[in-house]
Amino acid sequence: MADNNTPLLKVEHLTKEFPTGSGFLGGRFSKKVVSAVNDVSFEIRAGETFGLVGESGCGKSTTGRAIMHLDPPTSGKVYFEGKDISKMNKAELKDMRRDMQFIFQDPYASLNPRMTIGEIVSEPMVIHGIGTPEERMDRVRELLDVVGLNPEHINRYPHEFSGGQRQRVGIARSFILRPKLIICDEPVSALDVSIQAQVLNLLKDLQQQYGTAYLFIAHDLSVVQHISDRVAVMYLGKMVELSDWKSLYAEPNHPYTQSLLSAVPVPDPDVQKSRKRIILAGDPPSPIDPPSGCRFHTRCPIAQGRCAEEVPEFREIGAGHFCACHYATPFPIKESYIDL
Amino acid sequence: MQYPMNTMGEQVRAAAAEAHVVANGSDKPTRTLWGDAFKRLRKNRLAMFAIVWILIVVVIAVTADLWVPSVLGDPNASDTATMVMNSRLAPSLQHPFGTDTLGRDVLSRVIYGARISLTVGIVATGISTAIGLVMGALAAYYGGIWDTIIMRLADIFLAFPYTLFVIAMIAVIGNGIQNVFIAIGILGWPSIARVFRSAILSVKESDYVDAARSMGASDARIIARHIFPNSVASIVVYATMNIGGAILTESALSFLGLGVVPPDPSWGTLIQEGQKYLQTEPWLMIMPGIAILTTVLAFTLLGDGLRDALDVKMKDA
Repeated sequence: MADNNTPLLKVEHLTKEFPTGSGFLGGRFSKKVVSAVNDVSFEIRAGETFGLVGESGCGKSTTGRAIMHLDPPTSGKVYFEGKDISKMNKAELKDMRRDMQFIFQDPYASLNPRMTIGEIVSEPMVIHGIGTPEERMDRVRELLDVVGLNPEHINRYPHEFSGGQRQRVGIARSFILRPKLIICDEPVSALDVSIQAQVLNLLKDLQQQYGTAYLFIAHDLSVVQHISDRVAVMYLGKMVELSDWKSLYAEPNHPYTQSLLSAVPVPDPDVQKSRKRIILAGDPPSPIDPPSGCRFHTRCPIAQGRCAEEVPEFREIGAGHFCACHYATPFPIKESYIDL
Repeated sequence: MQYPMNTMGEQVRAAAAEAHVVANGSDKPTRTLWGDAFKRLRKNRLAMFAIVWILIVVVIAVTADLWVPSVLGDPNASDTATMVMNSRLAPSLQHPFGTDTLGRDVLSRVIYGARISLTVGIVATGISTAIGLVMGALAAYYGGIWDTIIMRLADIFLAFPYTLFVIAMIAVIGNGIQNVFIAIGILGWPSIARVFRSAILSVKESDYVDAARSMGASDARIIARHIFPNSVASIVVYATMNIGGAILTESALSFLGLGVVPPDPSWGTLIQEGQKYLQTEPWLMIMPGIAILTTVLAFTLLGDGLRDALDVKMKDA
């Protein structure tokens, strides 16, 4: 059914709004909404890693949750292997969830403290009625070994493990059904830097072994660079730039991407000193009342009158390189933006 | 100096041995939540004292009919001869807590009072917990308008001074032990509902519930495996402490003559009868007072111990 040309996951004009206010009767009469994700479209192909970056509150996690139907989208479509998720009935949705798993950011919150590691990792199998209890436990032991945990710790509780180990438990759980897509919601940002690399390498190895596609959400461009095939940048609920990682990192076109990349620290102190950074003024505006036109125009160093009025189109500016800016210009990252 | 050094060495050796076991990967057999909690509870000395004390009181109260009347005398004796002869005797071997105005053995009455007080505590807490669990669960699961209605109702209940509310209710439905159950039980639900509601709400929003949902788990499974086990602990703790509170309320009611009807002995009525003789025969009031104090304290300490024991984040099991 899903031939090679059908992307594994296709997101079209995804929009997610949350009602705000908590006044009398839970604010159900207030009309204000937080526009967390606005008109986001992208595709993920089988076996690839799609990085999604942006600062806190830009809607990248909400995008992941909306795709998973943890918070169903307000509008827009999500197709998984060509099928519209919002039109699926309960049984189809459950089947879809076999093939799409989630890895959470906080390894301390994502494991039920009252269940043993064995129960946690085997839960997807139990839910989908796969295998006998013995078979499940064999599979759990196998996977614990794969993710680098001692299979004999199957009867321990999550609190007996460190953060990195717990994240490995979460990874084992997400892989036990051999899903086709895993949405990783900042899987390493709660971990120490030394552990981050280990977990990223583990994710890479597992991808090679099982051919799983990742939607990799992160706020750290260097982490995304390490793992992604293609990268999309989000700002205030909008996708501003999408490209394969090489051209995004070498030639960012959107001024927001440029400023983000200029903020990535370089380990060489001489280079770091001589580099000119693009420092954005102020905080991101509130998503309750987003700026008109281009949402970035309030902080954009090259904004002009048109930017406040016209929403820039998310247009293709190079092969597979999309950018939502009226005045996008390629910007070789080694040089300074300020002198332009 | 020698002694503490030795014990320290002992501890270090024990810890090392434990670490060795862990390092060898020889794992403990499957342990259950309640099994682990009990292990932790056993290490809590105060809580263990509390359990032992509660067990003693319960055993004495339950078996009272078998031995108390013959050994200590009928708590409701009413023949005139003993009344006059034994009126307000000081504590002695025969009457360890002394006797009251009507010549009845105070220890015997305190023991029979325990039956009433414990029953009130447990039954009333049972009623409050049952109502509170249903209300709290409704408010948390359905949210929205249900949440608003139930929680505002709870606020209204909590806005009245509790004892006054119970007294008013007793005044309406009349006194007697059953009505004490009902009044204390019904009026106790709002705090339980609040505790349970907030426990469910915090668990409901947790990542592991989202994880279960993202795997496709059914609502029934999420409630049974994830939400309930993680929110029920707070109720166990709260209900345990609530038993002590209910005993206190019953005593207060009986003291005011609104609870248990004399001659049935409840700790509250005993204090009320004894207060007239506080200056001359203080044991009439002090003995039932100590009974209330120790029992309520025991339930509170047990609740405290349970709270620590049921917290899975506590180290070593």
